[in-house]
Amino acid sequence: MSLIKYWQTIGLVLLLAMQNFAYADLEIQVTRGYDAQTRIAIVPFLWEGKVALPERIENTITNDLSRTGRFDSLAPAKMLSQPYDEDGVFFRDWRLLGQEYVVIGHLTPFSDGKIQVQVALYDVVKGQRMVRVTQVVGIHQLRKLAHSLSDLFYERITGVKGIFSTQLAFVVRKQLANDRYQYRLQIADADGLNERTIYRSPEPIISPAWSHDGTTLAFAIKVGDRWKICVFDIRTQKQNFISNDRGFTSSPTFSPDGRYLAYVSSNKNSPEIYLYDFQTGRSERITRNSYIDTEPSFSPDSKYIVFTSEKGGRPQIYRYELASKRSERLTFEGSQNQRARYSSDGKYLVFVHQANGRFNIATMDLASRDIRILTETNLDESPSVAPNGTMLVYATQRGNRGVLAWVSLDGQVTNEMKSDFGDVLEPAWSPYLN
Amino acid sequence: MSKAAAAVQGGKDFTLPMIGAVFVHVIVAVLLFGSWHFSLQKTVEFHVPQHIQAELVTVARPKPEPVKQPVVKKPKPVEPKPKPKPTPKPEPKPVVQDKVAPKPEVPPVPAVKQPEPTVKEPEPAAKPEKTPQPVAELPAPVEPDLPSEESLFENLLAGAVAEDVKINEQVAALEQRRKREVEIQSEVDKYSAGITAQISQKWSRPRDQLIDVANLQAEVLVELLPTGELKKATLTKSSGNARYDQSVIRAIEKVLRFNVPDDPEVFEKGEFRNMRVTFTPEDLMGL
Repeated sequence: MSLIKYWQTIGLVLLLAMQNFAYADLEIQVTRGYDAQTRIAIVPFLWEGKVALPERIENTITNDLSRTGRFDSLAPAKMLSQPYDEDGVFFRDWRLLGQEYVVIGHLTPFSDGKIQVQVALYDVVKGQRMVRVTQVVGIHQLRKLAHSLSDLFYERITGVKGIFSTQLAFVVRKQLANDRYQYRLQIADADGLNERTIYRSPEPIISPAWSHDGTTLAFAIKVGDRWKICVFDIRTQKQNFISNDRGFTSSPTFSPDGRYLAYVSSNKNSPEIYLYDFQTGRSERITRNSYIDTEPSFSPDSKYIVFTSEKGGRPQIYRYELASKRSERLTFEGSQNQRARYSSDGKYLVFVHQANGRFNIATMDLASRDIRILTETNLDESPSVAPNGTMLVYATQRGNRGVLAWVSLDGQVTNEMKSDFGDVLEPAWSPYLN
Repeated sequence: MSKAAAAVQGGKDFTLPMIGAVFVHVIVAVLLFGSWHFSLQKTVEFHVPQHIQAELVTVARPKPEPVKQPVVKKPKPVEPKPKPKPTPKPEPKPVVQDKVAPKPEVPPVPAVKQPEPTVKEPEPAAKPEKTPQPVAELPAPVEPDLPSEESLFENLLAGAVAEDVKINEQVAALEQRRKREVEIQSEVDKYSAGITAQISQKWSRPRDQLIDVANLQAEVLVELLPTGELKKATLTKSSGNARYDQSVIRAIEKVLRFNVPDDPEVFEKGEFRNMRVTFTPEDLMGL
């Protein structure tokens, strides 16, 4: 009898123990992800006007988002319905199609030949509207509006500011005869379209750079037997030459606070870095050695300049502090490290890292000095990082042509663009312009 | 022992009083002799709870990390063991048996077979409980023997049989429940592995940023309805990176319908109502 009781007790105790365990939450450990692209359905917008529009907003938005490498947009032919207002949006249908977001739009003619654009973004997973925009624009502002809608959607979906309203500056070169070229400095939208020439020269134009407010470009240009740095106001077309040295001059870069322009000049034999002060109108040499110092770039707080130097034997990245006038070597890994740029938050450097004969885009966490390789590329030109740090654009060769290539930070080439005029060289991604 | 055997043989030829006397002897003899049997059988019986104990504990423990280990363990106990080992085990290694976790089924089988041993009537009686310390307990059985008559003995016998049946029933019931628990646990494991895969497939890490997400960790409390629909997802441990946190919440939301067990008992006991989901991107480490 006592044995039975004994058993019963054990049984009860165990059951209780189990019950206790059962009260704990079920634990699930997710140790991998699939990093699938975000699936978005951008429904063709309804246009109620009679005349065809020069711009299909929905196509521009689709291209913008696809080019980031993060989005997979649903072909309109596969849509079960193509609603243009909220009543027509049935989340169940979009879920069936595996979509995560839906964009609809409705364009109606407005007075003065303007157009009223109504656009909305829906979260299919949550079954709710995220964004609704109503705006009246002129017919030629449609493209700009499309890019800013892309920015808005991108930011709401990813939490990161979009770069679709930014611009690129780049040089195109056309060979006229054996040793005669025509150079053009051009500006285009971030997708490479809508390009326009802002400066022409029979002599080389190199290394364009944007000012922090996006109003001014600086570039090096050969004028006669001299190299000059030209500071060019995009709106007023005003030019200001700030260096008139003999020898090669290149790589201008503005300080974010607008006070300085750093550039490289080799008028004293080896290339050295100079700092031009817009307030005093004077240049000061900041590196002094017999090795190559080049590719300066300011930190977002304008207190530091990172640059590439070969004073250690091979190109490595150094950091110069304006206040103390001292420089410090930052990179030690890899055979070469070059072309450093600060991330917009100033916490990271993005640079070209060469190891084992391969060129990679790498980042350095400035706090820990840890290097992480982001992208393996076949870089033959300098990459320029988008202001939100999620994409790069660089010049590369396709066939015999120099083209621009867009690469997402996880390594996919998402777009390429050639110019009808000639080879595309030295792209520079603008800062945020709005 | 040989004396006892002789007495039994002789008892059949002589008169009733002799039978009574002989029976007393027989009982004493059998008790002495049978106590071995008993102690053996009891150790066998005794193992049942011990094994159950071990088994239940193993069942209970895996819950924290439900996915794979328990599943692996369970198949073993359920099938293979009972057949090969029932006979050999009872005698030689009582102590060893205790330690060997995977042998839980061994005991139940002998227990079922006990009805056969009952032919030896005397054994099952009151002693099962006491035999653990056979020597000390022996006096106890002797007392009932003093007034012993056939009726008394039969009562004793009947009681013993009944108790035996009762014990067997309880063992069976416990065994049944244990099996059910094992079954539930294996269902829980199966479904939680499925849910892990469902979430994994929906998880897109924010890799287009300069920060390395490989070392980030976040935890989400996921509350489900019995239909598998999401009631609520709450970030209970932030990774420190807003986009990463957003990605894990989004992964949960994107599942839309979690594949939960239809059996309400499995759903409740497995605590599918409240799941604590941790996200550790081990596949990105070292990239």
